[in-house]
Order: sequence, then C-alpha cells, then structure tokens
Amino acid sequence: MKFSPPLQGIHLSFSPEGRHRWLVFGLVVLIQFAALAYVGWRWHNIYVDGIPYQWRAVPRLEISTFGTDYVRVVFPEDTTQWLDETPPEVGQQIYVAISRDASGLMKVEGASASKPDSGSDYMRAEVVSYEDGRVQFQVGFDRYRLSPEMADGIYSLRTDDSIIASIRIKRGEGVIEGIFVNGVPLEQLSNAAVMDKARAEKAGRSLFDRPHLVDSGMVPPKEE
Amino acid sequence: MRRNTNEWLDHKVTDWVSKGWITEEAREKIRKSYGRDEQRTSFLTPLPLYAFLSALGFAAVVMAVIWGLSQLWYYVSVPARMTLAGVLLLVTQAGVGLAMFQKRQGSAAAEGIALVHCLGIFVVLAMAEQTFYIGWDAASYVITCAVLCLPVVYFLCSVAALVVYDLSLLYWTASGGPVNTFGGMGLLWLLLLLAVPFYNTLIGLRDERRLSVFSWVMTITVFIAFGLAAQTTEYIPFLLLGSLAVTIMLVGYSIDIHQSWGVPFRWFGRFAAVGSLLISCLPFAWDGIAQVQNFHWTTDLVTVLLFVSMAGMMTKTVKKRLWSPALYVVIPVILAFETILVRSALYSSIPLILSSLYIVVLGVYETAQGFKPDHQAHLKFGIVIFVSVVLAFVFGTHFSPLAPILAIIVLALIVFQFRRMQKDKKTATQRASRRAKLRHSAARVRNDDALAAEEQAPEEELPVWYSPEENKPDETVEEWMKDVRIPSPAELGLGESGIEASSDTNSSKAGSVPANTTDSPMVFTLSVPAESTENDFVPPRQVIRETTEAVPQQMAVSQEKAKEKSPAVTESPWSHMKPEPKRKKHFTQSPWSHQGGKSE
Repeated sequence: MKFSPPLQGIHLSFSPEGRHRWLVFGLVVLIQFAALAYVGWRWHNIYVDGIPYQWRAVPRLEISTFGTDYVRVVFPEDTTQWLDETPPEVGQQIYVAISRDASGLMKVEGASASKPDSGSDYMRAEVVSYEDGRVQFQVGFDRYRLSPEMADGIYSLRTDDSIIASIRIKRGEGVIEGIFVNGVPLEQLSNAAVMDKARAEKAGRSLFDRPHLVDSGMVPPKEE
Repeated sequence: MRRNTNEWLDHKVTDWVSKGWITEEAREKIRKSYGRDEQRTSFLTPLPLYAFLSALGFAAVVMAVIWGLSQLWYYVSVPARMTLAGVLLLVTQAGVGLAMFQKRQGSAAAEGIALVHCLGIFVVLAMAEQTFYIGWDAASYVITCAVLCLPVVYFLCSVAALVVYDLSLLYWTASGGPVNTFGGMGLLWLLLLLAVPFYNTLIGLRDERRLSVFSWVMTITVFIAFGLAAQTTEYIPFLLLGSLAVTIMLVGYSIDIHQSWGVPFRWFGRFAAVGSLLISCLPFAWDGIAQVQNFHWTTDLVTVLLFVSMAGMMTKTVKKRLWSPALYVVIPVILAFETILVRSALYSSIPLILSSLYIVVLGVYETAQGFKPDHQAHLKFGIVIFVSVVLAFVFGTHFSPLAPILAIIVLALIVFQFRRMQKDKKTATQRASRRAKLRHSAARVRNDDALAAEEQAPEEELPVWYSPEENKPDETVEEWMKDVRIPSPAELGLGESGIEASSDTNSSKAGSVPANTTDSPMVFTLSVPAESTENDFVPPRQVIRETTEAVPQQMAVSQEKAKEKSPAVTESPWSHMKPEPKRKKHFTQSPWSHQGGKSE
C-alpha cells in the first residue's frame, strides 16, 4: 500500500519511536511543571512588587452549586472616557489609565486600546459596553478569598459604609490584598462590636479627617 | 452459519489450511488480525444493569466527594493545594511515560491515558489559577491547556487528544481569544499548523483508521475556526477562504484517490471553495472589501503562502488528476483578480459577473461529472451549486435581467450535456456488451463461431478445405491464370466419395485432393517431362482446362462462388449472354502422365 504525504517536500513529523523521544518527553514534563509554577509566581510577583492602590468596591456573595471560598468584588467606578477614535468592541481587551486623587484613592483617567504613552500606571480590562464616547469595563481581579462562614457578614453592610479595596497593580494585572469596611477588614464584618465602633468613629469624623487605609509613605510619588 | 462472523471466518481459514492454500502460521496471523473485531463487538454489547447502576453510583460518590472537598477547600493551605496539583500532574505524566515505555502508542489504552493526561492538565491548571487568582480568563486558560495537551498527541499517537486540542482551539476562537492575543488570527493558524505533522506521524505508522479520524477532525476544525474567526472581522475574507479551501482540496488530491482519509480534504475543500465564490457573487461582500481601511499584513501573508502551496502542489503532487483541481485552482486566482480590481477603486459589476459565470461553469462541470458511473455525489454537488446560485440571486441581490438569461443558458447547457452523456453512455454500453462477449471461455467462443459460421454458410455445404481468405483474388497470380475457370468437383461429377474413389482408382492419373488442407498444403506443381519438352509442348491454359486433377480445388470453388455472390451493379453487356453450355466432361489422361516414368 502506498502512503504518500501530501507535501512531499516537507517532512515535519514526530516519530514516537525516535531516538530523542525521551529527551522531548522530559522537556515537555518540565514545561508543564513550569506552567504550573508560573501561575503561582505571577500572583506572588504582583502581590509583592505591585503598586498599592485603594479603590472603592462592593462585595457580593457568589452563588455556586458547590459553594466557593471567595466573594465577588464589584468596582462601581467602572465607566470612563474612551480616548481612541475607533470605538472598541465588546469583549475587547483595553487599558485603563489610573492615578490617585487628592484623598489618595484611585482615579480612573480614561481607557484606550493601547497602553498609555505617558508612562502612567494602567489596568488591563475588558469592554462591557460602549456608548457616546464612554466605555464600561471590567477588571480581572474581581475575587477576594474569604472563609464561607465569614462571608455571611456581607448581609450586614449598609449603604453609607465606606468600602475600600486595597489592590496592587503591576503591568496591568492586579491582586486584591484586602477589603476594608470603614477601616475594618472584611473578615471581621461578622464581629458586630468592632463594626459598631468603626461606624461611630466614622460618623464623628468629618470627610477631611477620614484616615486612609494605607500610610501616605506607601504611596509612590506622582511621576513628572 | 452467518457470513462475516468470526465463527464463519474460523471455518473458512481452517478450510484454507486444509486445502494447503495458507500455512498454519498464516492462519494464526489472520485470526489475530480479526480478534480485535471480536473485542470491539463484545464491547458494544449492551451493558448489564448492574454495571449501569455501578457507574451511576460511582458518579454520585464522586459528586459527593467534590461537594465535600469544596466545603473544606478554603481550609486547604496554598502549599498543600499546589503540592496536590503537582502530584496529579506527575501521575498523569508518569502514565504517558509508561505507555511510551511499553510501546503502546496508537492503542486503545494509549487513547485512554492521553485523555486522562489532558483532563489532568485542565484540572491542575484550574487549581492553580483559582488559588492564585488574578482574573479568570477562560479563553486564555483553555488555550494554555490546549498547547500543553498537544505533545501527548504525538507521544501516544492519540486522536482523542487531538480532538481535545481541536475543540479547545474552537472554544478559544469562539470566545474571542484571538482578538486579545498576540498574533491574533495568525496565532490561530499557527496553532492549527502545529497539529499537521501528526499526519506524517500516522503515515509513518500506517494507521489508516487514525488517519481518517485525523483528516475529518482537522478539516472540520479548520473550516469552523475560519467561520468563527470571520465573525469578528469587519469584512468577509472570502479570498483567504477560497485559497485555504483550494489548498486543502489539493492536499486531498495529493493523497491516493482510493484512501479514505483523502475524502474530507477533497470534498470540504470543494464546498468551501465554491462557498467563497458564491460569497463573491453578492454585492455586499465587495462593499466590505472596498471599505477596508488598513492593509492587513497577516491576512495577505497567509494568502500568499497559500498560493505558493497551491502552486507547489499543482506542479509536484497533483499531476495525474489535472482537470478538476485545475478548475478549482482558478477560483482563488479569480478572487484575487477581483479583489485587486476592487481595492484599486475600479469597483464595477465585473467581479459579480465573473464570479457568477464561473460558478455556473463549475456547476455544469460537476453536474456533467455526476452522469458518470459512481459519480452521483458530483451530480448532487452540482445541483447544490445551482440551487445556491439561484438562492443567492433571489435573496442576496436585487433582481437583475441577467438572471433569467443566465438561467436559460444554464438549463440549455445541462440539457445539452445530459443528451451528450446519454449518447456516450449508450455507446459505452454497446461497447461494453461487445467486450463482455469476448470474455467468454474458449469453448463458448468456439461454439459461437460455429453458430456464426452456420448462419453465414450457404445452403450448399462448403468443402472442408474451403477458406474464404484464400479465395480472395490473388494479386500475385499471373494474368493468364486469372482467366482460368476451373470447374468444381461437383461439376466434374466428383463428390467426396467420387474424389475418394477416383483417388483410389485413378491415383496414377490424377493428383488426389488432399483430405486435410492443414496437414498437406496444396502445392501446385507442374511436372515437366524430362524428354522432348519442346516438341510436345502444350500451352498451359489448354492443359489446365483439361487436367483438373492437378489444379487446387479451392481456386475453382472460389470463382464459382464469386460469380454467385456478387450481383452486377451496373448492367453489363455480358450479363445478357447466354450461359456457357455445360461442357461434357472428358476424363482424359494427362499427356504428362505417360512421361517421365512417374506413372504408367
């Protein structure tokens, strides 16, 4: 029987009986382990080296058949001005330029299909919708790991509570370090005494006296 | 006993061994070869109830375990999670390595191990991504897993893993993965190309079954991926589609026509090529091309590469089957020409008319092919082409007066071709029936010849030495001999018995008529007397008239028959002549018979 390859001049093939098959197999094993290790290293790298930001957030319970070990985090400030001429498509990956406002919170400057040229920091996000020059986006870091029994504390949140997510950003990728409600970590949300104390302190302070979650020393100076 | 069963095969093989056709060793090999079928049939038998219930129970237990683990998952530390992931990956890799070590590539076990390995990669990577969460991008996750699963396709020659790889690519494309990835659509084609060398691996292993699966899976994947990718583009890339389709079709034509794995390449290629041409018959498709703003380097580069591939295959591998591939190779050439016209701002009706006319040509060609025996698929394809053209004209364009004219031309061509094919078919049938007669046995042929000879034979039976070929007028005969009329034995009053009698009685006077012409070829020899030849010279004509014994009898007979058989075409003055009076036969002795001392 005649077995002629379609492209006779091209002899791209891998023989399972070849001499170097074990070498190739070993290489593939290493690559697969490297891929696994890279996922962990990437997260750790952002967590350690990322630039810290504080961004307003709202935690939501995640509904799942098997239960989860995290809560969903929604960032209300998810709409900004589209800086490019060509309108984006839904699902397209975009770059959201960020900075800090006077209170030290993260401020969204605008979004573009390309990375900001000015060297300012940015977040990688996905387009949810676009209308009249304004784009709604969604960032990737939208989960916060939380014990299932502590997650029920979300029900006790009030609309006037100040909820801030502490995040770290590096090369567009982000990691949520913690979520604070009136300065109290989300893990202590079930502790009614601590929460009441925090709410009372918040009511007694004026807007300008409100302390930031992180020291000013941690915030890098603005780039010229 | 039912035919085509293992029992029947056993019986037949044993019979062959007893007849000595095959050896015992060959019998064992044959039995071994169809033993797989036995396993397969037993596998396909209905599962017993307890096995079904066991599977159901096992699934329920697994679900419960997963649910329990999910409740405890938060309390599993990060290092423990990663260790678990690493161990899982190592186990599946060890399975692959063991299968390689035992050289079980291409077996059912290898397929299972490859699938488990793929599943392991998906699970392990999901565990890592969920633990170190920076955002869940399903498309990125799936494409990473697909790339990591690809090596096992080659290691274990697994088409199951190939299916996983192709499905992952399709999911990635459908979820918009190429849009957000470096390289975009180019990366998709590159990832598809990574699976192509597996074809050569299977060719090396001579695994026909997997080759078929490979060709079907890859062809379908390529076209679905193309369709999904085209959804996100701002125009319909039918030039790229046409080039890709014809390239795939030529790959199919490069494969031996009798091999099953070439079928999907050829047919999917044909369909897609005609599809691209059909799209180019619609005005809105050209509007999209005209409105393209930027120069698409990736698309153009891929198109050029496909053209080079087509040229290479046409000149090297597609030699024997020229016409059909050549007709389809024209499609991308036409589309490229039309694209250049449109992109050069020479937008007119030329692309639409050219594409429409050529698709009609293809339709006629495929329909005509369909009238050949065992080419019904081409007929159906031709009909589909025509129906598609009509639908495209009706729904895709504004009604044009060109349409009915075109339809009339097409119908006329079809009718003309149909009649021609019928005529050819009739001629071929007649020829085949004639040939079929020639295929009979020698005995049958002899009988037929005998019957034909009986039919052709005159009422009066010809003598056994009669040979029609020898009765033809001989050009080498001397002129004076042509006028000689030699009476037949009947005229001479010599029947067969008479001849025999005369030969017996007058053997000394007359040369005997040979009983068998083949045994004793007749040679007419004149015995010239040794003495007084000059004085007793008799003109040959006279002598021959009178001495019938020495003349070959077939010559006489033929002249008689020639006179009877050939009627006068024109009225000859000789036709009114009275028949020659019957001469009285004189059986005189030859003057030569007394000379030379040969006879008394």
